[in-house]
Amino acid sequence: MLLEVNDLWVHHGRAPALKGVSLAVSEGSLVALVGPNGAGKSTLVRTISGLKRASAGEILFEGKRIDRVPAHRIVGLGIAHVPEGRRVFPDMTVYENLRMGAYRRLRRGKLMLRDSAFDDDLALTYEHFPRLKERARQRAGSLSGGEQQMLAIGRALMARPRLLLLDEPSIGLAPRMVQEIAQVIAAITRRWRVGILLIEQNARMAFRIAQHAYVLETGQVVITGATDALARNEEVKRVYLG
Amino acid sequence: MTAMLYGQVAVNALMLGATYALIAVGLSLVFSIMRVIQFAHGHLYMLGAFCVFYLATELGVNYFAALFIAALAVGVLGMILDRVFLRPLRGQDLPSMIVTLGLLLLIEGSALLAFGERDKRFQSPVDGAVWFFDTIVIPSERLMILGVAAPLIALLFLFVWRSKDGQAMRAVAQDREAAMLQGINVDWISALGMFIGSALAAAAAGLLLPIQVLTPAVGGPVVIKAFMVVILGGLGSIPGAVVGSLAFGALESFGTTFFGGYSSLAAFSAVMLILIFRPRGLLGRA
Repeated sequence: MLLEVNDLWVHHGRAPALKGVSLAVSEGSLVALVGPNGAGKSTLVRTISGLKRASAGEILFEGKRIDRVPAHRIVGLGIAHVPEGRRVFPDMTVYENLRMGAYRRLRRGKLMLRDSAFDDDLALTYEHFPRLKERARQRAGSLSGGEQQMLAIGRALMARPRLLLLDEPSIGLAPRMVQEIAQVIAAITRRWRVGILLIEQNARMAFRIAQHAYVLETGQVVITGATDALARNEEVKRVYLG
Repeated sequence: MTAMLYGQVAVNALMLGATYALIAVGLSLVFSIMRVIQFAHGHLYMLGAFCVFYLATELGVNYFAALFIAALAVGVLGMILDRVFLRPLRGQDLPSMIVTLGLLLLIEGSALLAFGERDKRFQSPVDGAVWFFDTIVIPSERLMILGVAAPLIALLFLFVWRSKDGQAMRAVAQDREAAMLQGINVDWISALGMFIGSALAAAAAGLLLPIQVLTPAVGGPVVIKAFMVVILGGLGSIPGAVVGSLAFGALESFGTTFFGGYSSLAAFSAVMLILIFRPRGLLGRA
């Protein structure tokens, strides 16, 4: 299994945000995590990427425990996290942002590296996001919301992850842009054979591209299953797809 | 006669601006990475000055070697202060700032005990003056100051925009958490920022030593001026700190010539006036 979360507890201060969550993502699969605001979806991915500490339970990546690993080492293990709100570096250019995604692989002395692996990754990223190539020299802060989301995903791909954590990629985007992002996410799973854990409030979009889904409510997984089965579940339909 | 006057005032402005830049850039660098105004920055400057002073006078170390050693020593001290006092408070900006205020008092008190309160004067390592176009005469030490400070600033720019760690600093400054997600060790980058900022302050102090009187009290006014300059240029912007320094150096230099003892009043008033019309500073982003 690529990612395994077992009985995870996380607290914000004294209040529990996650109350024994278990979840799994296998190699190359697309798993959706849906649920209302404040259910603990972001807390879960933030804990996986080390930004938040678990109070109990374990997180395994490719069979190894990672719940004590500091945040800056997580990406090196093969997990890239696209945080909620895109969080691109606004005063860097699009190209510089993508380069930061490959930060860990940059050689110390010469930053202006033209190593072929980096160029290959860059070309592949541009293939998914031709618009980023057009805007390579533009300040990231000047991009539209959808373009910033593409940049945030592209930056994560530059780390060559085997697991991609996407936190609300569709939030605040125009419907047409949501479509585009959904297509790209589906394409990425196929092309890069990377496992994706997709957090979405837009369950309709998530269910269309994911094979498996978890529904999180107040810090607990309430329903889980294949997306086509879940999409027929009356309760899920009423609350999330209605 | 007037050409000579303006020429000298201009060179003086450049020299002042370049040394202020060395000091302010460090303050700005540390602020941009940690979101903390390092109030003890001026006191690290003061320690740097004493370091050069004693190395050169008591131990007979060559002035330029002393400058280098002082920068290194104060840089390492900055790293230690970060590790011991600031790292446990990482992410808590206000408590961190109060801690740096405490460090300011601690360092000034210790310096007073160790070095005494009497003024110290330092023999300039170069003497004489240089003539330009047979009209402008500039004291050699001022040229020396400019000649060391300007390349140091250029080196810093090269580092920040062309090296891996420099890019990491920019990333941390723009979004600390997103930087961590790219694999950047924020603790290391913060320590490095403190090293560079503190070392540059010490270098500036050593450079200004020949034209200043040294006491343990010099730190306070230095940090106030540097803070002023950083705000003038745009808080957290490194080019802004340089532009702000050059502007402030010019204001002060021309102020001294035309307003005499009121130069600081004139310069500070001008800064306030600029900030009224451009509150985010000359190069700051809203």
